Amino acid sequence: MHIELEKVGFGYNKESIFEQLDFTFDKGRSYVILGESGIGKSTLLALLKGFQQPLTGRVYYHQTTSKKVEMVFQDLRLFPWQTVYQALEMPLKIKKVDKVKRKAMIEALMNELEIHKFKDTYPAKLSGGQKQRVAMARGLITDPDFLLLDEPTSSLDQETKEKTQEYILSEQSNRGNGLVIVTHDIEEAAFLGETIIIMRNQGFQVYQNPVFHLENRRESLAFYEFVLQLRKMLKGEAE
Amino acid sequence: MKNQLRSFLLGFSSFLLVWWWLSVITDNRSLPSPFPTFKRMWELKDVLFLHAGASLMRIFVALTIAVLVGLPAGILLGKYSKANQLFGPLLYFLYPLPKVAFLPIFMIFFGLGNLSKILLIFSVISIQVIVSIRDGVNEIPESYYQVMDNYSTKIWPSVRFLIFPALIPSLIASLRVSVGISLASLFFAENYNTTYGLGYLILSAWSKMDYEQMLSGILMIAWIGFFVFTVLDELERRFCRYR
Repeated sequence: MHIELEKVGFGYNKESIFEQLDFTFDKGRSYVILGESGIGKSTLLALLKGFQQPLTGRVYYHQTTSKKVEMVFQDLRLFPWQTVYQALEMPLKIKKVDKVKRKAMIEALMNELEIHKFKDTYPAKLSGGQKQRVAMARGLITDPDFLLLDEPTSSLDQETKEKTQEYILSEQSNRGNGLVIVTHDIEEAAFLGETIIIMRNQGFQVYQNPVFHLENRRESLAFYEFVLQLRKMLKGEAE
Repeated sequence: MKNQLRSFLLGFSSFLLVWWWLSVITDNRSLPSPFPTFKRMWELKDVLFLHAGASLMRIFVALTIAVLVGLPAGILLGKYSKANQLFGPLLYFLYPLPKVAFLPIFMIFFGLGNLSKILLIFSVISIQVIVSIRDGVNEIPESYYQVMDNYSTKIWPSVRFLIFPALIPSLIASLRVSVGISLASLFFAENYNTTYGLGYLILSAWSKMDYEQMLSGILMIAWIGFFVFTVLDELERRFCRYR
C-alpha cells in the first residue's frame, strides 16, 4: 500500500510552491517533511489527503484510498461540545460501526494513549499534550492506512513534546500505518522520521535517517550529530 | 434547579414588593394590592388554568413550528451563499416589520380560530430564529468542515455532528428573545374573536372592572414566561455542558 506523487506541482496565484515532485510514501514507514515556514509543507499534506488537487501531475493511491488517510491538524480542531469519548465515537458512528465494537475500539485506544481518565472531559479542560493525544486518537480510531500529522508538537513544552513523540512512534509501530509528519523542528524530524524529506527550492531532498533505529537515540551523540547535519542540509550548507 | 428556584423567589418577591408599594401610593382600585389579587386567583383557579393552557398551547405550537421551519431554513441560508443572496434581502425587509399588523390578513385567510393566532406568533418568531441560525452557521469555523471531510463528504454527518451542536446556543438565545415578543403578540392576538386565552381574560376583566382578575391574568403571563425561560435554561444546561 502506498501513495505516489507523480510530477506533482502546486502553487497559489500563479506562483509555484513546488513542481515536478516524484515520491512514494509506503505504509508502515514514517516520513518527516522538514522545511521552513511557508514552503508548502502543509499544502503537501492537504494534497496527500485529497483536500486539494495538484495543479500539475497526479496523486495515486495504491491499494488504499484517500478515505483511509487521516489528517491531524496543527490547530487540532477538537469540537468544544464533544467530550473525549464523543470525539472518538464520531468517526465510528459516521462509518456505522456498531455500538459494542465502537465501545471496545475507543476503550482500547484511550488506554493506549493514556487518555481514559479524561473520557468525559471537554477539550477546554484538557492540557495541550492531552488535546494532542485526543486529536491523534481521533485520527487513529478508524485504523487508517496513513496518518498525516501537521506540526504535532509545535505548541508543547519540551517534556510533553518528547512524551507525545514517543506516543506517535509507539502507535505507528503497533498499528503499522504509514506516518507523514510535517515539522520545522529539526530534532523532532531526527527522532520521528525514518525518512526525512527536506523541502527546499521548490523540490525534495530525501535522506534516510541513520539513527532512527537506535534505542534511546536522544541520549546518543550520533543523534545530535545527525541533527546538526540536518540543520546544515536545511540551510543548504551540506548535501 | 435550586438556583432557578432561588432566582424565581427573589424575582417574584421583589415584584410583589414593587407592586404592593405602587398600590399603596396610587391608592386606586384599578391597581389592587397583591393580597386580594391572590385571593381572587384562588377563586378563579380553574378558569385561569384553562385560559393559561390555551395561551401556552398557542405559544408551544408556534415555537415548535418556528424551530422546525427556522432551523433548516437558517442552515440553508448560512451554508449556501446563493440562497442567502436570494432570500437575505427579503429577510431583512420582513425582519423589522411589525408582524402583528398582519393579524387581519391572517384572520381572513386562516379563519378566526387558533390557526390564525398561531400563525401570527409563528411569523413573529420564525424570522428571528432564521436570522439567528444563519448567523450561527456563519460563525462555525470553516476549518471544522475540513475535519468532517476527513470522515465523510456527505452533508448529513456535518449537520449531525457539527452544525446542530454548534447551533444549539444560538437557537436557545433566539428562542429566549422570541418568547418575550411572542407573549406580547399573543396578548394582542387573543383580543380578537376568542373566548380563551390570557389576552382575552385580561381585557374582558378590564371591561368588567374586575381589576383583581385582570392582574391575575397578567401574573399568569409572567409565570408562563418564567416557565418557558426555565425550560430553555434547563435545555441549555443539558446540551451546552461544555460552556
